[in-house]
Amino acid sequence: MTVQTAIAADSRARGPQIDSASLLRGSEYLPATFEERGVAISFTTPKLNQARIRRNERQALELLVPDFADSGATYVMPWAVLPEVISMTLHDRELYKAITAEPALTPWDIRRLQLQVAARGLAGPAAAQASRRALGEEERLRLAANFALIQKVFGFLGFETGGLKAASFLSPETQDHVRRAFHALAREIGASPEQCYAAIAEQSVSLAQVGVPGAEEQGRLRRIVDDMRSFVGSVNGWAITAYTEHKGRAALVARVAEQTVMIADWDLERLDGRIRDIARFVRDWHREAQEVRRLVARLSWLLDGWDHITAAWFCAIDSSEIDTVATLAEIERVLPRVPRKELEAMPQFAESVAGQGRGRRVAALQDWRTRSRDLDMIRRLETVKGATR
Amino acid sequence: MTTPASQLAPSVFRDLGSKLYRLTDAEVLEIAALLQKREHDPQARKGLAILRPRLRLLRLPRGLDARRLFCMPFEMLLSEDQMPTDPIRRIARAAVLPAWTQVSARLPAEVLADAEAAAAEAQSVLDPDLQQPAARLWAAAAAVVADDFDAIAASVGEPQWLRDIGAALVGHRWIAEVRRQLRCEGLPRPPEDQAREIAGMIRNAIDLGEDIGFVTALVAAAHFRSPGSLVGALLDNRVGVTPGPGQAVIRRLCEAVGVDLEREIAGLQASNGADPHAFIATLDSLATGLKGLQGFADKAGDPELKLEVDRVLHAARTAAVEEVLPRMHRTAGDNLDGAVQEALSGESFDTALMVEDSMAALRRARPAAEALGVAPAVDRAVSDLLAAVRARATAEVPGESPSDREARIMALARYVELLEGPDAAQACLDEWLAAAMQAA
Repeated sequence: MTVQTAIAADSRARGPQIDSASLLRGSEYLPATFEERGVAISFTTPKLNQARIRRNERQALELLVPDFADSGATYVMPWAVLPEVISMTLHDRELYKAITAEPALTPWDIRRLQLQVAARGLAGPAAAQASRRALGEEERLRLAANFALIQKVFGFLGFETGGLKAASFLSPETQDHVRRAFHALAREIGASPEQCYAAIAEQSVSLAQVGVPGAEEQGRLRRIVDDMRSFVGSVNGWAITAYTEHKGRAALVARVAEQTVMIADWDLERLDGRIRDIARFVRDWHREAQEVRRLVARLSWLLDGWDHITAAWFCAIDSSEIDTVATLAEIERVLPRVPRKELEAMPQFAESVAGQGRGRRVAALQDWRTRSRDLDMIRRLETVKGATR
Repeated sequence: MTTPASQLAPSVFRDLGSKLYRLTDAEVLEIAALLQKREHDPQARKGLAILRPRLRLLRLPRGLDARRLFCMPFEMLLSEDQMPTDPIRRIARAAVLPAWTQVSARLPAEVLADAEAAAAEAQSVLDPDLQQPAARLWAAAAAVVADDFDAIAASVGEPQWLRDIGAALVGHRWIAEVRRQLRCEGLPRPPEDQAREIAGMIRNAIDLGEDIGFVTALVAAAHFRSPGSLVGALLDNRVGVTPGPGQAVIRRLCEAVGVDLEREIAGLQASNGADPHAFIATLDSLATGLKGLQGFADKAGDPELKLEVDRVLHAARTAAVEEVLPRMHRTAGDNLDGAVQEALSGESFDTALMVEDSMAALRRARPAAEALGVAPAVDRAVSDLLAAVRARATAEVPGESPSDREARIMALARYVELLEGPDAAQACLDEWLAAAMQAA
């Protein structure tokens, strides 16, 4: 089956509601939900970079590729035909196979698959090392969150925390100290010490991605929000001396980033608020665990794609003006716009939902307009992969 | 005693990230100064990296004044050298102050005062309120240079510098248009529609005089990675194809580009391919520049220029084939085993990166090498390296674990991808993994 017939067949099968390969004009298209927006994939094939994967109503996988034909439109194509549509890098072929074999569709799962594939070295040695480091970081972040929660328990009970250090967490003295604290907490809230310990351990798994306020090391999602704050300032600052057409693009990018940060801050505040009352947090373990998981999942959907964008921007702004301009155009192409329903839920954004749109991009000076394989661009994307946390 | 940066981390750096845009400029500078004193400390370097976006913004635009305005038409032609040898950046920056001192003393007072006032109030050089006073300043300064050339030239040093300054001041309108159109340096060849616009502007400048047209063309050329690409773009738009002032301007531009290409060849020989990225840029620049020059020599039927082009082409080929390509070939080939070892250990990747850069450069160099007539040398190097990669992928390593074998195959497949593209790499990967499974 050729690509064209596959696309057409898929289009017929799905009916008119979502038309495969349909052109969704940037200015008209704002995803309704995170699921409709899809999960960003850090492909290293330039045309596919930050394309988004999602399920259609028949639960089949499909890929949204922004500006696939330099038309300013987002192409929706069945996942199955992707290798026939475009010649991908070796890294992307392996990533494609990995996602197909384990069709995971949360940002967390896709990230794990991306790290596993990049760790094999197919996106270059820098990306391999960064991926291996990131994979190894998960356990450390869980321990950091666990340790920070235990510190909160100590604080609640009025125990001395001065000598409590993450480095000596597993020492017999510290463990004994912790055991006594959990017995005291159990008495305080009317539960068993084992239940308290299990509650903290389970919450640490969920909170590892975000981190706990006051912890020595913050989770990845909180770090992305911090990077985004710097990103907004940097883009706005750069725009002061930029030419008019770049100013407009920078303003749009900064505005979407700001909206995302504001929503993320709101979620983080709710999450941190739950942890603040540590006694209730442990006592109502099951209900709290559910809410924490929901908030963390929401944050990971909200911030999906932004780690790549901020890394790409900071790589570019340290090089030349021409790279910065090209990167800004690329960022606008893949901008993770906040879904309509999320914006509508925030009173301060409700009005702006209708007005948020993208103009047509001018693709001047972009090598990917040529038909040749853009090795420079691929290597730039690999560098960004190495710099993405 | 100051606290080592490593003892401040990580909470300080976390806060630094989140407060980056809430800190005042003075605070940012103070923290940066503290961290810079401890640059040997990795945590301090991390802190500086966090501050970098703010530090970039603190590189505030230089304060505008009338002297800076005066320089704008010719600032792209300024060189830091005392006696510039660059054919495009050919005016010594040291000439600016004496030229301005002489010119400003002769300017009408109200023109100077208007320019000073507008410059002081302007937010940036793009400020629309600046345009009129600036244009008046340039026109008046051009008149002063023309009237008192000898007197001013005596204090400037080289009369040619002042001739260029004068021509740029007269052609300020078209130079400003060119700069507005092109906007930043390091551009690739202009796209068709932009080339048409630029050609029109240079044609208008030529109408004002040959020198003015030439200086405008130099300013335009200074925006491109390969200044020679402008020659091709101008010829495509029929500037200089018939005898006349246009052809004279392009001829002078070709001479300048020729000198520039020779400088690039000398740079290529000096670097000897140590920086693969610079090698690609130079080769691209040589190919584009020579193509433009050849085009003009053919169209103008200029045998002298043809000879000159052949001479530069020969020098470029010699430098590429005899010196740079073999060195890059050696860098990739000799370090292949070290790079594979790094992939297995996963600890560092300096050698792997060096090998990858050399391979990617060879592959990227192919189109330019073809234009320069040295493609067979590139093909030979690529084919040798591919053979070396294949030999290592199919070799049996005694005592190697299956996971190490897979890592080795992955690293080598990556090199095939860099040298031959993803389809060939995929075929190799499938074949090598199947063989590994069979062996296991």
